[in-house]
Amino acid sequence: MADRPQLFEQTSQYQHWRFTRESLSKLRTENNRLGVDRVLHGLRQEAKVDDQETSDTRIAEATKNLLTPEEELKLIDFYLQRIKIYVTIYRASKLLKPDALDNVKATAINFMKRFYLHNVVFDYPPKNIMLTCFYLATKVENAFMKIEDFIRPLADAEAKRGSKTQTKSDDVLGLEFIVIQSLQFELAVHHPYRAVYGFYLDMQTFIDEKDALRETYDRTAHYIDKSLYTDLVFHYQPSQIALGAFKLAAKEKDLDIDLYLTQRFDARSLELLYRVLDEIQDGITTFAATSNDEAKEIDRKLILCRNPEKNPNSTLYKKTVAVQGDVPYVSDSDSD
Amino acid sequence: MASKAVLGEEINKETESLYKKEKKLGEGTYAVVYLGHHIRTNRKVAIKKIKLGNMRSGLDMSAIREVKALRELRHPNVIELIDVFSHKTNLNLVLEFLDTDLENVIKDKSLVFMPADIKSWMMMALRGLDHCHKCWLLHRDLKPNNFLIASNGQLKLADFGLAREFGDVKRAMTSQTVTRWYRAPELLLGATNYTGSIDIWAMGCIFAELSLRAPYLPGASDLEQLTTIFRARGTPTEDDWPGMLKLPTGYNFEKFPKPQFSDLFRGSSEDAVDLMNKMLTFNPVQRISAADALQHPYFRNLPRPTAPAKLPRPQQNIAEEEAEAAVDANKKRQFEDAFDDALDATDAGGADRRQIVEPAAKRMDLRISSPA
Repeated sequence: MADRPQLFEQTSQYQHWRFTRESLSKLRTENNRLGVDRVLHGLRQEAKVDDQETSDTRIAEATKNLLTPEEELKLIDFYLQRIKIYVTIYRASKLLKPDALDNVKATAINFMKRFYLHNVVFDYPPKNIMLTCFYLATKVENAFMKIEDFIRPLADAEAKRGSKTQTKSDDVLGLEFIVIQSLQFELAVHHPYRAVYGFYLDMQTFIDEKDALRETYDRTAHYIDKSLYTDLVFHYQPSQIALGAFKLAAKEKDLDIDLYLTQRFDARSLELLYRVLDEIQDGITTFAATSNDEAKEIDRKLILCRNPEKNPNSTLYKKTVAVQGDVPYVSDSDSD
Repeated sequence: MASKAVLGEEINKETESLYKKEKKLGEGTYAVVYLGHHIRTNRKVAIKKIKLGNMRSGLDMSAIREVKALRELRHPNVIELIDVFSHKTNLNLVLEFLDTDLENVIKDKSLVFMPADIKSWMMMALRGLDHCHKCWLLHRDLKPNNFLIASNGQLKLADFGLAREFGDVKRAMTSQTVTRWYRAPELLLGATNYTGSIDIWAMGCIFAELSLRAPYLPGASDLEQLTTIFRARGTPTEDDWPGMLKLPTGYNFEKFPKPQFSDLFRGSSEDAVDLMNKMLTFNPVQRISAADALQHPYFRNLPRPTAPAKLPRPQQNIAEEEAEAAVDANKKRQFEDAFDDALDATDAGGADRRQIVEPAAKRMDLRISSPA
């Protein structure tokens, strides 16, 4: 076990995607502030190509409705929750094998969380970013499917709902580079699922109540799933989150795993570990997902404060960006 | 993340601005490789531009695998991925510049290999591979031309387009991997759950190839490959490899007797043949690991491995007289070697080995075709 933390310390996840609570919140605030600046700048640019009155109202509306970092997070969370639904859709249509589900889901969620540390919803609304993160995650987790296969269940679901918009391949692929560059091209993500299985195997030599242990282990998946939506992944290692989830499941199943912990760790590391595990359990149990109503309200505000430079439906985009031919999603045309 | 920029697009632009492309080294259907340099430090780099214009499903799997693997690996015997940036819809991998590869060295018949040279290459190769396996990563395409060689002689594992993580017993993996001549018998029998042992088999084949100066198990087709292996190493019995016949395409094969390896590897020492046999063990469970291979007496016994800078290197793009001189130098080496005591292996012949004149840049284009 001794060289395992060292190995994890070499990963990009440990080196580049770990934050203190303060640094994470500072990054998000700064990101939001710069995003707001870009929205206002974009709107002023738009005023130059649009008539004065329309622009004035638009700027006034936007200023009133600018999202705070907290609102951004809530909206992102709403779409993170939807990844769960998509996983079941692809599973039902047999496009994702059961053995790949956990990893694809967890990686997609992680990609989206990382993406919004380096982007704001004003530039890139979460709906399509979610799909691109999901599709990228299937590739990264060795569960590749063709883009047509990826789109088909979405289109079917949209048709069933009678939705006016229809997701097209370009909606997903057009953002792939935007996403991957924001991930700093670091694609390997480690999740608690494997670590928790390791703990389960290890605990069998210390804990006699085999059935209760089995039930507890089965229940950990529920808590790990919940942990994915939290910021715990930015603060703790997968094995720590795994153990935190194990403690929660054990409490629920009335199983004592402290016996295991006291035999596995010495008193001093145990003291540290318990503090960490408490924080993790706290993080999991206090997490509240964004409700439909909250999301709807934020989405409504977002329509008014999109950055027109990145919004293909804006007057600015149509009159300038598209005309210049600097459309972000062209096929390979550079010949350097 | 030294960058102060917050926005993903800005970080990407900053990275791009650090490098300058100089000239095209090679072009394939999948990528173009450029020679370039880091603008501030002037470090020479190879920029592999992966073309995605006609990829229908966006970024393709081999690009994803390569970036995913190399971003996590840092080791003197693994090619360094210095940076990655995108430009429109092209993915650019900034790699350390390496001027030749092991296949080139093996094929250059003007070069003479000493046992200490082979030991040095094997040691570097196994160290790089051991690091991958410790990081729970399988390479899945080991062969001589995927070991690149730096100007200081360091061997570097490259081309991670088929690499993936392993160790999750619940997840099936494809058995259609690794270039045929280096493909382990369990893959040929259709195994979908395997470990680092498939890379070790390939390393064993490369070990043999370094001694023979020709591919050891060159099967003419996938079907032929198993027969080629069995003919060379004897058909395994149920004792050699319990469970072999339970693999998807396992059935009764023609029984070849176990030959005397020492006949074929007469030039190799006993400890070398022993390690080679342990790497080419049929039963994947018993096949030696990279970590254990590095602890094998072969690496402790004399002769000591040649210092990387003194290893033989191919002479390319040089004038005829220089080529002749190189041959002379090697003849001289052969002569000296006959008298050379194994104790002096570390500096034997080193002085005669010429510095490479100009990096054989075109070698980089070998790796720009997409693996099937």
